[in-house]
Amino acid sequence: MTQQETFTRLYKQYAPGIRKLCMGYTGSAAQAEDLVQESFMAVWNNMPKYRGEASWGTWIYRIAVNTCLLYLRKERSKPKKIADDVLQYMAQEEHNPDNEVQQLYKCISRLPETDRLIISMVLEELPYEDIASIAGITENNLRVKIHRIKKSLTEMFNSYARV
Amino acid sequence: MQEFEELKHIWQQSTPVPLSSHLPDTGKASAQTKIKIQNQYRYGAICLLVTAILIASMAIWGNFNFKYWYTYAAMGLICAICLAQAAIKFYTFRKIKQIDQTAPPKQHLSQWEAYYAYRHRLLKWNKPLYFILLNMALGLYFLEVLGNASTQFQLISCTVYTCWMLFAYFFMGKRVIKRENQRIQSIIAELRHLTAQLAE
Repeated sequence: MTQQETFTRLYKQYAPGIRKLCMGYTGSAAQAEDLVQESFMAVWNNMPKYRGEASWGTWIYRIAVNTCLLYLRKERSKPKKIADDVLQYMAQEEHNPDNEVQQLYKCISRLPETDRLIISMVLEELPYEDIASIAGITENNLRVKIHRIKKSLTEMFNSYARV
Repeated sequence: MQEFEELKHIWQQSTPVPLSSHLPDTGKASAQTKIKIQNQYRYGAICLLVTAILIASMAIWGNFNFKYWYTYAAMGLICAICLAQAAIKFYTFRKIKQIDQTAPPKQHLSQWEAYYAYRHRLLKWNKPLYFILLNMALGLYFLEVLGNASTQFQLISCTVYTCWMLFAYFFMGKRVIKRENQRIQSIIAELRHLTAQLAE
């Protein structure tokens, strides 16, 4: 299998999850799309370095987490060109005020940066062991964090829903 | 009252974006932010290297027949300054290239922090020193080049050049450095803030 074929397979397999992670992180579909593109460019550039010490999924999520954390306001590049079908999807999703999914993304994006990423992976049902490995923290520390984030996210969502 | 399990259900309801038409163009992988930053330094180093080679070639094969040794020394000094600046740019390029995007987040953030701290240190001495040395070398070069011109032309040239350099250094340069300094400091603060979140 060539690098391009492997990349295409990985993109099709992991892009939906990474996109949700980025949506939770930014709360904006356009910025999330920009981050997905940036993350997969980094995946492509780092593929020759992949040693198989972690699964492809863990490795890709870690790159995406690092890309999100580095998405600093002052250092952002110009948004890349977004495909028409994606733009259409964004318009449908973002202009639906009753959309609970959008509310959830907005609530997640109000959490501290690392909490956003951790809870997005929990919601995506990644195993705790993998999340700990991606975030580079111990599983015990992760469990404590998850408990706290779940509580604050649930409270935030409920208060948001009452407004 | 929504429970977390219900939130998970909402999360899983979100429809995936159609994937068929927008696979990232791997031919444009150099558009990735990290690669773009490192390439700026690489091309900067190459440009300075080419400049040094051109000036050295002119000094050796240019048949200028300068009378004074210090004019050639000035050309040599300009070459040396360009080479030193190219070396600094190449070192910075290597520093960025070594940042591991696949490392655990805490490590990755600290690598970027180290790079920005290095740039912060560099900003303090590199630009002023580069400016002063380059102008000293140019001043030395113009001693002979303008030596045969009329007094009026010498005065106009020196005045225009000095005014431009003083304006560039004390007005434009200082402002650029100050703005860059603030930007780097805010990035470092943000990186530390993120690292602290992971350490909790």
